[in-house]
Amino acid sequence: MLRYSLDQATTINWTFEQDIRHFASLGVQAVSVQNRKLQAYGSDKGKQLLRDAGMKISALLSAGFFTLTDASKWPAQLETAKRMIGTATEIGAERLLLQAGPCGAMSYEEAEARFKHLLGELLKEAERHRMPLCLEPNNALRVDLGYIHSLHDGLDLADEVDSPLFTICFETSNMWIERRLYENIARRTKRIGLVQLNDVKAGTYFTPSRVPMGDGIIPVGRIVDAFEQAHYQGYYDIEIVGPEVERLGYEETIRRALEWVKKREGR
Amino acid sequence: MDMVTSREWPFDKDIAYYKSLGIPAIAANRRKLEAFGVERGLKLLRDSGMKVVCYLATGYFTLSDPGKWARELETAKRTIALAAEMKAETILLMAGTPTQLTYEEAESRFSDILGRLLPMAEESKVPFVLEPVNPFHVRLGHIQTLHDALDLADRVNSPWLKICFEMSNMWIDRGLYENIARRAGRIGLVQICDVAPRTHDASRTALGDGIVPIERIITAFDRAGYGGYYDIEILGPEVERLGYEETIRRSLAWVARHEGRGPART
Repeated sequence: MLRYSLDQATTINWTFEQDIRHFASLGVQAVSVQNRKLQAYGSDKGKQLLRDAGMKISALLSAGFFTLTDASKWPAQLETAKRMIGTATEIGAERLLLQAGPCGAMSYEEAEARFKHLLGELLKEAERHRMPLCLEPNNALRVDLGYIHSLHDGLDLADEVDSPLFTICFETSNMWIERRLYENIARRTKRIGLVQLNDVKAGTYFTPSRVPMGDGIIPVGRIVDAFEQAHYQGYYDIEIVGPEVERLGYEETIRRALEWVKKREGR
Repeated sequence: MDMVTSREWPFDKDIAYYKSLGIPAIAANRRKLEAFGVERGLKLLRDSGMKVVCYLATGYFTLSDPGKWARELETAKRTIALAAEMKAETILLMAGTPTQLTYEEAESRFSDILGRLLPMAEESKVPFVLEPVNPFHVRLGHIQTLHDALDLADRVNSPWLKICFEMSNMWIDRGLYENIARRAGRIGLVQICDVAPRTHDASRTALGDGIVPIERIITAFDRAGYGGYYDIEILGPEVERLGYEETIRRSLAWVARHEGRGPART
């Protein structure tokens, strides 16, 4: 059975409570929690609601967003990130998603040197809480979120850092056509902490603009097969965001996505 | 100046306007040339005295369906002949859509196609410049980074296959400056533009209006002995909003500043 969760980003304009009640009514057993929604609802209340719903938490999204060009901002940003490690621990999240942050006009290597310094600091806190961090590479158009744009480059960083508390997030719409994809899945699955599932339609030219699995051009089934064959142990997190989701409506987007999961499981 | 920058203008308007600004070279657009009339267009180009740095574009192979390749290769052959006739320095090549193939499956098929294309380029003496694209433009090709394209060029190792560096897509590539320094000989065209902060689509802006370290990248190319053209190719909603004249004016002002000919930016 596919170990999946539903990401609260999929219902981006719903409240925390709406999400949990709707997801629970559909029999969804795990959720990726958006920190913004959790804080708006109230952390303690949110924790209780999750517990009452019996929901597992695949990840808390997202910490980081470091201003890599301006070291004077790092102490405050590190403090915020450390607090989020604490929040992730309190709510029982399996991991905390991390965004590296904007690199300004720096080269990839300059940005990476700075990020590694920040990561070193964060990993000490992650170690204290035993909370794994999971870094998401982004599309090259999203330099406002980070400087890493492929699974391969993310995995190279993870190999270099070589910590069980630092893994990479596989985001399907951004990574499905990259070079060495299947080789990386087969060889470095243990470095992948979360697989975000979605699809994109042909002729999509901006990000994020995702659709439910099966509605687009991505061979999602083949990719999931590769992860299964590589004995991936983490969650498949359904994260579908963009104008097509707003047009379809959240209920219908979720219905189609869960239908895809059922079909895959032969149900 | 790339004709795509004044996307909705006709072929003759581009030539007349660019010439009035003293622009010495253009990247000619196939769609515009065909709409204007090939013979008339070629004569206009000859009369203008403008250098054609690149003819855009050919390829767009249906990598998932070899049954279509013979016809697509015929189209490419005609385009190459036309590029030769206008004495284009290069011809832009788009690999085409991989559909649901993996990168490696798509590359294997594209390599087969290159095996048939490159002799055509050699015969016409017009090298290809292959353009990698953002993953969102997957219908245009399977290659997304300068690094991966350069690896293909190294493997093919032909003077008739070079890579197009497209700035908005590659400026934050891993290994960028190392690749420029080490493999500039494989790069046949550098398309320059800028990108506004928080741009989430393929929208480009006039040089100097965005966040791309253009100066640093061009300096790296110059240091590496890059001998090709810097082709100003700017397209997207910001260009339509700003207008073609203003986009071109700003970009040429940036070039003048880069060359130390213009006033300091205020």
